[in-house]
Amino acid sequence: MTEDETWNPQIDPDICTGCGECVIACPTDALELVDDVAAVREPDACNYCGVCEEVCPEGAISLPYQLVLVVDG
Amino acid sequence: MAITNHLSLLPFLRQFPYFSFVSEDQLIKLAGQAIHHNFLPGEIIFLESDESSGLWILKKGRVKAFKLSPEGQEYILRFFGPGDTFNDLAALDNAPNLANAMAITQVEAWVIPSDAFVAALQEDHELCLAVIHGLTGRMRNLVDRLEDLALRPVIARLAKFLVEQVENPASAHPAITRALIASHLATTPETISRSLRTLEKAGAIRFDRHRIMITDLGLLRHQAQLDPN
Ligand code: SF4
Ligand code: SF4
Repeated sequence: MTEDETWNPQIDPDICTGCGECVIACPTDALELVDDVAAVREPDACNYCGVCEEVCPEGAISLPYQLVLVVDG
Repeated sequence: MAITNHLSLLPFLRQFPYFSFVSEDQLIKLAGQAIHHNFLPGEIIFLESDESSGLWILKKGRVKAFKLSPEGQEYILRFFGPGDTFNDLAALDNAPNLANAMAITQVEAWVIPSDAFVAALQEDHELCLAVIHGLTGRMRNLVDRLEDLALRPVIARLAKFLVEQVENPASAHPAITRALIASHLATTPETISRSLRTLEKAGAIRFDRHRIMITDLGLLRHQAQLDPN
């Protein structure tokens, strides 16, 4: 997995049933079904709103976060 | 494995608090019995209630120790990073492993079989003292976790988790998800979402797409009910 792919919604193809709820719910049209499995088609469009993670009835989607400590200049 | 390989293990082992003051002879014996392992991300290192495999010494990567409820709900006990040992208790009493361990990144580790570890303890006073010291630390950590679960509200547990992750990057998780935090704090992902939003409103953190920026560590420590430092 490339560094960029790490920081996109992760969809577990073994758990996804292809119901399409996340595709419908995504406000930025970033997701689509490919061979009956949800996939992030437009990673640049994704704004990490987390809606897909919330609506997925199977818990197949998770959004990985990176923790960054902001040090005041 | 060739002797030379084991000798090259000595300086590495010396860096661990357990082995800092062990006699050279003893360390050579231990190194001679250490077994090398590699794991891929997601690979199980050992399972709870399996026979103890020994004392694990982590060279590279991250490991999580976790328990599963009968319903399959995961509860993460701890993360381990390079320079940590794990499975210490089961290595000592040779009873079954206390928890499950899984590689969360690529992992390179050594394991010292229980028999070899216990035999070394019987012969080396310094090793005994170092192990007692190490186990005391583990015990304090467990009491700390117990206190968190029993006495701290979720928001304080979450704040403390975030503080620990940034203050101890070596054993932090490289990519955290709501589900992962929830299983570490024995709550649900929905509760974690709400609590993260509360911390954001309070001004302690800010979201920047996939980044959680800790904008006010002092405030976060306060939320975590930790003393200022
Ligand atoms: S996080 Fe939001 S924008 Fe990104 S894929 Fe999921 S629903 Fe769409
Ligand atoms: S909502 Fe979940 S199960 Fe349904 S298509 Fe999306 S990822 Fe798959």
